[in-house]
Amino acid sequence: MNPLLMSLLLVVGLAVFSRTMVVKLRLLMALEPTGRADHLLERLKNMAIIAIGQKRLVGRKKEWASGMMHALIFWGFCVLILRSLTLYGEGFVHGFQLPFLGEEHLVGYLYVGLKDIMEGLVLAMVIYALFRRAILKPSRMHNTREAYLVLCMIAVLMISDLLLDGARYNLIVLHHNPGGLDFFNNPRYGSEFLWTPVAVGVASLISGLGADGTKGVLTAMFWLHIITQLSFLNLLPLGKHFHVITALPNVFLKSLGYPHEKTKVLDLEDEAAWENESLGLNHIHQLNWKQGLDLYTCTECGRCKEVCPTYITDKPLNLLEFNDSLKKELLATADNLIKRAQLAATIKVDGDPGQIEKTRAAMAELTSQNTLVGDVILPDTLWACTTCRACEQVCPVTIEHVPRIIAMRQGQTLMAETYPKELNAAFKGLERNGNPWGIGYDKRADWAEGLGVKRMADDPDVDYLLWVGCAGSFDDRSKKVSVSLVKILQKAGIRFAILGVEEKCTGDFARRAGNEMMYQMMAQENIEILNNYKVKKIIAACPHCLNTLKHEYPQMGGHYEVIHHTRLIDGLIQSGKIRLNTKVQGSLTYHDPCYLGRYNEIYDSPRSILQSVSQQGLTELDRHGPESFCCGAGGGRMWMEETIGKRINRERAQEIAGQNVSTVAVGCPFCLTMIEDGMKELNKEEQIRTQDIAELVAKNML
Amino acid sequence: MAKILVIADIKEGVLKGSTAELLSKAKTLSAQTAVVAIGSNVESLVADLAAAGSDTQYIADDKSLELFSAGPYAACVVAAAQQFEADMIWFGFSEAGKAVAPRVAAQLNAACATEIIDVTLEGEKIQVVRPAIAGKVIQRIQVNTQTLVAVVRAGAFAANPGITGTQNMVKLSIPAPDLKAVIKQILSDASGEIDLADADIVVSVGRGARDQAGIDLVRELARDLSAGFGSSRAMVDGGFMAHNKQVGQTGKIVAPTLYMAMGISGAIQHLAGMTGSKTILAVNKDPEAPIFNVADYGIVGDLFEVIPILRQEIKKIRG
Repeated sequence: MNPLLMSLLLVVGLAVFSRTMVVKLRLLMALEPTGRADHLLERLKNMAIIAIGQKRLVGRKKEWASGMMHALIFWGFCVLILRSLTLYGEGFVHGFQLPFLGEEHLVGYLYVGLKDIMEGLVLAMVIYALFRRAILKPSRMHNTREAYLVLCMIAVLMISDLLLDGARYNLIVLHHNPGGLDFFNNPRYGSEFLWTPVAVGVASLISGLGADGTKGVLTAMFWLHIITQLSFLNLLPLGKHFHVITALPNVFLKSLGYPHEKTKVLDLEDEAAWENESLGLNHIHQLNWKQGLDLYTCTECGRCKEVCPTYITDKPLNLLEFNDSLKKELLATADNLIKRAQLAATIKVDGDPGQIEKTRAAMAELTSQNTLVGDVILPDTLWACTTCRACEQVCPVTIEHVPRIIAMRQGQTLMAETYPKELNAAFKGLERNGNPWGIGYDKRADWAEGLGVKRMADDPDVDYLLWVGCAGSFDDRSKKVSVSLVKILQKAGIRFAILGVEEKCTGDFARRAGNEMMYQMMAQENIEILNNYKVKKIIAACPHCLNTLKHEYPQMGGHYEVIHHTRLIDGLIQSGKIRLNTKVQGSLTYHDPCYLGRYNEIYDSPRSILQSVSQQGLTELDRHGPESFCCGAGGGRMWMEETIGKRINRERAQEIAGQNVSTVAVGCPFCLTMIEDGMKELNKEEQIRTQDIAELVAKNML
Repeated sequence: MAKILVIADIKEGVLKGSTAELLSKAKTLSAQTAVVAIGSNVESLVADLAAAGSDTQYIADDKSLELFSAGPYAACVVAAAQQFEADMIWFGFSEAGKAVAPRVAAQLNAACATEIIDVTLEGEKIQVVRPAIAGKVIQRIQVNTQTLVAVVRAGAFAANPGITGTQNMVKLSIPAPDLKAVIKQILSDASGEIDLADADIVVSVGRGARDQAGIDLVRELARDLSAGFGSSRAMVDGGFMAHNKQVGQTGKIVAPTLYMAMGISGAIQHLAGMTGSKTILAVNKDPEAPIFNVADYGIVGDLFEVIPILRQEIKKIRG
């Protein structure tokens, strides 16, 4: 077309874009390190399924329509990239074609056809998106002018390209191709335009124009398309549409092996860390680069807040705004942050102490004055989180919300010592008696009196250690679950023992409340005892214990095979070691515990047991499986008062009560307490029994 | 002869009984006793202070001292201790005591012991006894400094009814007000009920009370006994009771002489807040209720039937 103009546009467009990207990248590089360069194949697979396959957009029934809309726009863009390259080539060389996409190949024809349909579909989806934003207004949506601008630009891109092809068609077919335009015309596959129904349709709209007018349209649309595309590229990094560029890498770099980045084992002996207040997340420069990339990638779609148990019950935690506040702080302090990191890089361990001190002082000057908790995020917002991971489960770009919250709580609990005061009693109980209620540790095995349960101290030669947990040991309600489980294990002839008074809280809630010191104390003592007995396999009835034993103790040298009691019981039923002779009367539903489902992906075993034990089969709740709704007790919330908004457990109990069931099964002692309390509040505890799966099995086995 | 300075416990212009308890104990150690009274219009209490068993009364009486403020209060105690050349300075158990004691100890370079339940003199050396590790062990501590600042656990010492003292008032100069923090107002529980933490008897209400009528019934019982009125979490969650009345893991932790659980099933979060009570009485319809596992006395029955009988009997005994 015009090589000079094309060169000018490309140079300017790409130069400005590169400059923006360099600034963004430098900021990420100034943040804390985190290793994400492993397991490349698994990462590619994640990217293929979650990002390119748009799994979390099209895979959710509740969001199917909008998910499909987004997926089609995304896939449309993927297809159109090749078309764009062809157009840039056309700017320099008349009739430019990419290799294998010319008229001599069937692929070329197939591509032309696919591109034509995709452009039509993308345009239709943009119209639907505009309608949805302006008229339907879903509540999770965060409507901005930027969003409308971007949608309009996409529409312009599609329309301009379709008009370009339409004008080409008209010039070639109606006006006998005065300029000698190229088009595919392989005798084997026919004319290019047989493959492009949308463009031909568009052509009919402008068929009234004369040859010159049509030529004008063609040229104008060509340059409009190029200019819009380059503007679009430069607009992306400036706002939430940065995700167009960062989503793929963000999904590629997501945490593997555990649903999000594990809490760091802080070095609490490091005096300098206490002095520099570098334990936990206190200032924005302490984010790691992946967390920075998460902030760049947030698309403000609002799915996180829509499924958040705290947002639904009117608490101030709104994860979309949480991200946005952190992003604003990150961008506002970017210059100082980069300078600070450059200074930090000059410090050499064996350098001149005086010089190091000077550098440290200069770094302190460059540290943001804003504290993350207090100035950027309010304490009530921080402490509302139940760490249930519903937000992370639905996030289409795999943002990891929870680890940041835990790290900020570490700062609050360890450094600032400003945490909800109700936690004190629980921490004190943990410190003195190894359980959050502070009940005498010597009473830990009282529940097992007369059941003939062995202690590891008496006979460590067993197949399984039964990890009872604090609730199963001390809470009268949960003790019944422990007794039921023991009966099942004994019936099936499993060789197992308990630790008895040697067991302590795993430290789960302390860690999630930011009390890393207390967690490490508990973990160290437990691991020492477990390793002493050479424990290999552990059965846990509490998903919180399970999660900590399985995923967090390895960080401190405790490696065990940990199995939830529902998995074990399911196996025992399948293999015929446990036979059920009666069934639970009436209908039954199941509440998925967050730490069993979302954290450990155990969804099937509980359901398989419940199918076997229930007469009428299992009725699923509206929010179930990976999108189950938290009971409200996770993340240390069990030990805090819930004073803002509605109560989460009541919300869940109401949902269950609306199901016309006579039993709700659970697989977690916290859920058991919360759901049963919710039922009591609704005065439904007689009509709807809250039972652990182990209780249902024990009652109905032969 | 040891010299013991006791900080007078004055609430709303009235001298509390704990002052006489501390002074009685001091006399059993054959100590010379003095008391320091801080506040507004406390001079009028000199006769009471002497009658409670003090031989010298240090008085800091000023309008500026009307509301408690740790800094100036500590300055008054330090001044009194220096003038009296005290070997020991005893605070009764109160929030104010806990706030002032460490300040005084720091200024006098003295040892500081909290929650003490006994003090003995072994020759020149002072020894204190206090519970530790949540009451699981009793520590006996020898104090190696010349001076001891101690906060005495509530009810640790008994008052001697025959105690006497002599009136000998010494006025203290008034310290400058604390500029770092100024107390503007002290708000107390508007219900006018006895503070749960201070109460010797606590009567608590649970879901068995069902509704407001049930709550009122239990409240009446609490009034009859001049007891603190507490609640289980369920009643707070249900909106029947205020959170400052909640006894349990995430509410108040109480350890009264007598705890009466009315219609409370005894979920673990409640038990965590009251099992330290000396004697526990439970009334509940459900004989299986876990509260009976911790209760010393249990009545299986509806509180609507049991409480009226209890109230009658209490009236009879009290004449």
